[in-house]
Amino acid sequence: MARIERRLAQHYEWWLVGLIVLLIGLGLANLMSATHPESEALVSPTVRRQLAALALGAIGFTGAVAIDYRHLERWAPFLYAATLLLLGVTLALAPVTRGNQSWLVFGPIRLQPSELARVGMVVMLARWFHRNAPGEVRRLRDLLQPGLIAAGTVGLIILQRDMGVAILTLAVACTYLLFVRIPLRSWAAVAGTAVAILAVVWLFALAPYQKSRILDVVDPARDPLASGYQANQSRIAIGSGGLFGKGYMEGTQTQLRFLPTQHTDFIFSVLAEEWGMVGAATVLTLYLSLLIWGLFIARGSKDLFGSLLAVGVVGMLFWPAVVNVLMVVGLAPVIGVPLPLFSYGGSSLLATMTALGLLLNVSLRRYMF
Amino acid sequence: MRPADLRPLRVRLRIAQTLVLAAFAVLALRAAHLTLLGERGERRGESQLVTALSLAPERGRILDRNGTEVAMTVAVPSVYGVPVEVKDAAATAAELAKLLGVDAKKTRARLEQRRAFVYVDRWVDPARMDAFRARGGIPGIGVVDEPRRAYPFGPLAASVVGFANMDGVGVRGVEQQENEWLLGRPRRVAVERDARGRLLLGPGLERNATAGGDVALTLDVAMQAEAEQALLAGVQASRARGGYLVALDPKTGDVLALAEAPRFDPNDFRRLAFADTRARSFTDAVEPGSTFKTFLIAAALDAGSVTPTDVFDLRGGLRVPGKLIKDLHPRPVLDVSGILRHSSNVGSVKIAQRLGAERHFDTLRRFGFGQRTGSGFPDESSGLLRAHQNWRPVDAATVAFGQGVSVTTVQLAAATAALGNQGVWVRPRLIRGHRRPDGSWETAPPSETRQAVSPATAAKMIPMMEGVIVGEGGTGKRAQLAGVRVGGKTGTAQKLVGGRYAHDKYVAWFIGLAPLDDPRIAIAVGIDEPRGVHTGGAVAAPVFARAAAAILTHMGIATAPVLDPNGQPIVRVADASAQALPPVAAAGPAADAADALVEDERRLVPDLHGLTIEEVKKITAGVPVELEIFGRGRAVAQEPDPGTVLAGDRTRLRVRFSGDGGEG
Repeated sequence: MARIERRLAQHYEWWLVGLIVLLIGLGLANLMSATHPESEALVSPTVRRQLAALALGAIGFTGAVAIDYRHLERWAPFLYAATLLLLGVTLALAPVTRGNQSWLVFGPIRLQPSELARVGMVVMLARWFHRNAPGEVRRLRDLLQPGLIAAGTVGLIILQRDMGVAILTLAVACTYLLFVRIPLRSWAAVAGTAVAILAVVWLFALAPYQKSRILDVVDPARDPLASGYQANQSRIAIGSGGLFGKGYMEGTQTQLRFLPTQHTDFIFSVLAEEWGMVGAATVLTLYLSLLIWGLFIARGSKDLFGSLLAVGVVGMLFWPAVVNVLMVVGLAPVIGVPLPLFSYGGSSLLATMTALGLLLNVSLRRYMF
Repeated sequence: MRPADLRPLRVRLRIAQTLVLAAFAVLALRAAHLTLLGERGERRGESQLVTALSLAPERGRILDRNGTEVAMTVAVPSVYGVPVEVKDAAATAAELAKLLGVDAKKTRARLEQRRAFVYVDRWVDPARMDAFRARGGIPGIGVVDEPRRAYPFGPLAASVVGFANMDGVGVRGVEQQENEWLLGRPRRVAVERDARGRLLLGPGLERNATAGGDVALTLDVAMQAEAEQALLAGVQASRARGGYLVALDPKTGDVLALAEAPRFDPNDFRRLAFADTRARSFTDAVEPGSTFKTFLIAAALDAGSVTPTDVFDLRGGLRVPGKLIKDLHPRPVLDVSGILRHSSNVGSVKIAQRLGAERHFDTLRRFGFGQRTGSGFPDESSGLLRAHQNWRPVDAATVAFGQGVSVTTVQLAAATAALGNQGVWVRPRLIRGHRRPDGSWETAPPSETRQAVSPATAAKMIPMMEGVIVGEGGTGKRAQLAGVRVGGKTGTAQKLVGGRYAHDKYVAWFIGLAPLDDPRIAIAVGIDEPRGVHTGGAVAAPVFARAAAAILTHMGIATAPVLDPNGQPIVRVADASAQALPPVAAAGPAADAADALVEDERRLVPDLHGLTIEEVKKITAGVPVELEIFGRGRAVAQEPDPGTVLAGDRTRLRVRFSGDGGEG
């Protein structure tokens, strides 16, 4: 802690911290409303667990700010190895819960390592792209190593049968493709291959329920009581919110529990119903500000590793947020993706806050040369 | 690190910022589309939420004539499932099967249905409910309190009260007859409901506003209990298949007690065969046997065809086309009273021949035979009485003594009541009043009446019916009551089995009125297929005596049967010291009974009916009996029966008291 010197504190970016705190606060308030129907108490057991995770997240955040991010480059392989190990252990030990094997249970603590894995992967990828300047990556085969780094993580998550998080993790890894210089025709080849793979996956690998969810995006009314139930209810909830919403804890669709997973993946519809278009737009704007700010931090960093780290963090926030909201507004298939800082889920909160700590870290140290 | 390294990167980052902005713009546009333009969502939300609900009001209660609840509604938990929220139907079903004892396979099938709401188990047993609650929440499984009809007296008056099915619709008895009133008017109201289908009543909506009304029966649960005990005892003693007993107030037509055997518990209606829950007194038409002679003679007297003292020559029986009518115990001559007293078939047919089929038929119709009483009771039978134009000569003969016709016990009781009500037939009724949901009572209008025979005819019938009980050779001796004049008629009908009269299947009948000076009750008792002795006088009359004594005692006319079911006198001091039975009130029952207790070491059980607890205690003081007292008021039942000898270790005397004490 002694490393946070007075000079650092002067540049401490209070506004960024304020923005983060504001989002966390709104997330908690919204979660309280979403879980209100489950118990009479204002602070439901779910909210209480989220608060505990928040305390843990605060430690992760502080830790991620305190160390100098440049040390991370050296530690990255260890972090990455630890991540893979954790995923492997989970796969080996975890009981089968809710169709996937992504939970690690130590007594009262239930950890979802797949949520945390993105941090380790991003640090490792940032290290790789730092050492192999992204501008120099001009051929597909140059992507072999980073591809393996991503594949190791994503593959283990797929083995845990957590498709939503796997897709998300892959998306985060792909964020770095923004900086490579691979010609368009190569991408066309990639796209062609991808379509072929997807076709094979659709035909042979997807479970019927997964296909249903995808078809539901195309035709929401095809099965409103079963596979399309959540998405439909979500659209109804958002639609019924109107411009100004029904008021905090007054959302009828929410409070009457029409949304089965309203406190996790469909938390945004609670917000939209109770606060209306205005509330939803406000939260989206706050999110957008954070992401743009993050990219400014990446642009402002004096060293490449810092930039890459910041971009990775932005990717870790951007993809789940966008995919989640797309899913909630019915533009993407229902894959279990939480909305960072809003959805109930300790592992997600811990990972997000640690990542935000790294972002702040990069921001703080941009004048330290 | 050279800054040049970062320049291309920064260009890309600017692109990234634009992309992020664009992505969020898409999100915002979509959200705006849903909330502002897509009114569809809002309307759908509303229609899902607000249901025009036919609100099931709370079903009204059924009370006896004194306000005791015999049917009420209680809340009982049911377990339901919301299939979309059930994570693993198989595991959940297995768990529920363990906790609730439901069928795992069926439950799983239900939980896999694509429905918003399915029942898992309705009206869960309390012990199982405790286990279920102790288990804690199961995703997608919930509990809702549902109204359930409860019958606190169980089998008491069950066939009259009937029951309501799982959906709260009366399907038997008064529950069915008065279903609309009990149900109230279901109001269609817009209410919110949540995803689990729970109702969310707005502040302005009061459930009671649509509540059903109460119904008060004419039955008195105390009299009903006595009547049922009497009937069950009689059925058991004669090892009969069943029995029916209807006790009416002759003046109002009120059904005071309606007992049937075998009984059933309406709380268990789900496990009962529907046919077994019928009210036999209303639904089953049976041949009336010799009890029908009463109405033949009333008709003949009313028509002026005979007088009570007209004498008939009965020698040699009587031949009608196709049948030789004979008497079991032939007598050479009998007057009309004697024909009734001895229940002579030959005499009855001769009277019928003098009366003529048309007048006979018309009077029987006025007594209510061959048509529904119009009590409104569901599934009431009209019995069978063919129009006289269709009577063959043999029919005219057999109808005289109750063959070839069938009646319901209620018809028989109502016709008997008419003789005790100056010849005025009163339509039997079960409903004494209705109470509106606001609490105000609406008394049932007086029942419709009809002059069956003239008051003079009815007056002539009274002593003749008394003769059946106390006269020389009367068949109804066992119907005697201490201190109360009783009139009646016995009957023994062979049952028709496959169109032929069975030799070993009978219905033993007794119809009676008491007290004759001013009849307060008319009772018809039928014992179905008694074994061994099967005559109405031996099997049905004792049931009448016991039930009538108990009911009259409840009315304040303290009395008791004179003979036990075996026809032996019930020992009491009054019998030993006086030839005639003094009226109970005048004799002072306490004094009578006290003397009876100890008689040279034999301890005779006195008749304690009608005594107060104090009097009973006084009698038993100093006598080595263990007295067990139940209830309060006046003694209405005792065990052992009066006249039993208590000897050896049989020293327990149980006495049940009931009703308003009225000590004074």
